[in-house]
Amino acid sequence: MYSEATRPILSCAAMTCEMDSVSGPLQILQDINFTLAPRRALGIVGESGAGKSMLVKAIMGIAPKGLKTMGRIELEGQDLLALKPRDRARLIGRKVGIVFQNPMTSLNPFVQIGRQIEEAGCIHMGLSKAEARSRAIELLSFVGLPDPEDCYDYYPHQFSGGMKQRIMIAAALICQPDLLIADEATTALDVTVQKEVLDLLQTIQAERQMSMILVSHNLGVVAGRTDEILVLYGGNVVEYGPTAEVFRNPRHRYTEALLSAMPAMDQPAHTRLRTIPGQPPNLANRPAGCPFAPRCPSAQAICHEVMPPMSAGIHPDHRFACHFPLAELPRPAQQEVAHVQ
Amino acid sequence: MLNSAMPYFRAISTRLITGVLVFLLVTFSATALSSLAPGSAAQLILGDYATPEQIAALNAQYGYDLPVWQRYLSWLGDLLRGDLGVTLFSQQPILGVVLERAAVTFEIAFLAMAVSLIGIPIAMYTASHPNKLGDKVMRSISTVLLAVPTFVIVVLFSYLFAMVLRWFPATGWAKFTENPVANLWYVALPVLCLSMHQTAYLYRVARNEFVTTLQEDYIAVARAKGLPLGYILFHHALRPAMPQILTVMGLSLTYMLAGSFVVESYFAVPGIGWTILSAVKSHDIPLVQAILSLTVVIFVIVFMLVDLGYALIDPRVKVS
Ligand SMILES: Nc1ncnc2c1ncn2[C@@H]1O[C@H](COP(=O)(O)OP(=O)(O)OP(=O)(O)O)[C@@H](O)[C@H]1O
Ligand code: SF4
Ligand SMILES: [Mg+2]
Repeated sequence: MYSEATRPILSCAAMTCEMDSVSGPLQILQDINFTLAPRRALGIVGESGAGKSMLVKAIMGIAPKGLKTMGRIELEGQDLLALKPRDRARLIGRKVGIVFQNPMTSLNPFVQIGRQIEEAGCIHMGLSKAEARSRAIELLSFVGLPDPEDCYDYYPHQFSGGMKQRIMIAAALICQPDLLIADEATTALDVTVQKEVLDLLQTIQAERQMSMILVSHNLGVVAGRTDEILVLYGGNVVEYGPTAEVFRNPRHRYTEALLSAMPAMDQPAHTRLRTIPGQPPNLANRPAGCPFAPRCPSAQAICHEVMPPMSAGIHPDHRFACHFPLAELPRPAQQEVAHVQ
Repeated sequence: MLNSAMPYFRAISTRLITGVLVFLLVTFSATALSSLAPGSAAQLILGDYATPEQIAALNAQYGYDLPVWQRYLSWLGDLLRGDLGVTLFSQQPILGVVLERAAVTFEIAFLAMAVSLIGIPIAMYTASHPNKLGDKVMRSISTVLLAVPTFVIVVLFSYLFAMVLRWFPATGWAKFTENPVANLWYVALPVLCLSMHQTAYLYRVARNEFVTTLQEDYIAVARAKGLPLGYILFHHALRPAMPQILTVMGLSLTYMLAGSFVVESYFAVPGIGWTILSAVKSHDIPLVQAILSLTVVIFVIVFMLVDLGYALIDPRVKVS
């Protein structure tokens, strides 16, 4: 179907995640569809509770117990849900590197950081002790730690938050993954450090020719750093398309609201975007129609009753689910929109 | 090198000073207690029918008519010289008797502790498969074991293993130095009985510790790295759980030493618990005092080792 060069790194088709609760099964994610091509970067944005982390965890196979994932997730053509958990974990560990939100708790305080960086390499790639060590030290200097040789033997508490996140990035790179996922990787950091780490991620992605998923509640974070953007609302994809296109020409009302409420870089994680009035949807009690309807200023009767289908914009890759989308802007003179840098 | 070892020296010396103070307090209390008993200490030892001459002789030998502080100082002097005199009745050197008996109790306590370590891997397994069958079964077993007092375990086990199955002897003793195999054979039942509570207790604490640790973010990271469960348990979960485990082991050891008389008197094992029991019964004050002192020393050493263990386990604790 695809040639080696264009086969997607990752694709999700009709992916739905359910969690049992006292009030019956909760649909935490509904009908997620996207593909990520080699060397491309995808941004996943949405408010706190939109399901960004769940999406990442369901893909990685590390979702909390009790989460049922349906549909199809393919990593380089491999159907992940068809694999035995152990094989899946090994494949993911080998092919995907992940950096989590909180560098303070993501490193084991009892284990030397050198070991934490190299361990996946030893296990998945059979690196010898010496190879692993030299590779870990190389990565430490690559992510910008001074004195990597000495750092190798240090424990996490001897580093600052930004340094810890750099160490996490180094650990994510040990198996030379094809995909790097950063789930709010900078939200816990100081503003200046945030930018440094984001720039580092972007550089790494370009230099190592990887694909990347950048998860954030902050549109500003993904703006100049991703090729495509996926907007999640209440576990649904409400808009998906080339980043520049979505920024220039948002069609879904929620995306518009997000854009006009674009938070400053220094906003702490998990803060609700106060400028969008109303509450995020209650997953236990989903409205029949558009999930954004209770908060949408443009909602009409049909919005409350019928779930809007995905429709395509003029740009062939731009999709959104809204009954009354914003008007399409006239296309700029040159056909291909340059990526915002 | 010296710099990095410095905090340990300081920590050890603080604990040593505390230990010495506790030691002085306890041994002084032991001396003082013997003069609080009704009548004179010599009277107490020799009984109601002792003649004044006998009492005078005992006082002359042991100084029971002297004030407490004077007796205590002379006892300390004896201790420093390494000669605590002889036991009142069998007239054997006290130090030799105490050390020999203590070795027996130690053997049992350490073996029991070694047996109880089996609780750790079981805890690892059940904590990583919570609320599965194995977890529930182990939880029930440990609850039952903890609810049953040691003397009941002793009676049940000796009935089962010594009378019915006849695997181990019910009573008796052989010195390890004379016949190691027979020694292990005799020691098996006391060790088993003594270890039951410790195993159950250690299992419970370790299981809960592992369950908590397995919810840490760094475990999620390790899982995302695709590391095998066994690797995660041993390389990422064991060390964070170790301080708690170490605390329990330290408490267990002191508990076993303090509670050894139950098992020792039932199985007629010539250990320190059995000895202090008979020494108290026969009012052998010098022997009681020697055993108390040794116990304090051991407790201080155990707690010091536990503290040191914390510092070795947790890189963040650079010793208070
Ligand atoms: N362990 C869990 N059990 C049940 N529901 C959960 C659990 N964890 C998360 N959820 C629910 O899943 C939904 C998605 O949560 P998720 O953590 O993916 O949000 P998020 O978009 O990552 O938000 P944030 O910006 O706060 O990280 C939320 O409604 C949350 O309440
Ligand atoms: S479908 Fe209706 S409610 Fe939903 S975003 Fe569009 S206009 Fe608003
Ligand atoms: Mg999240």
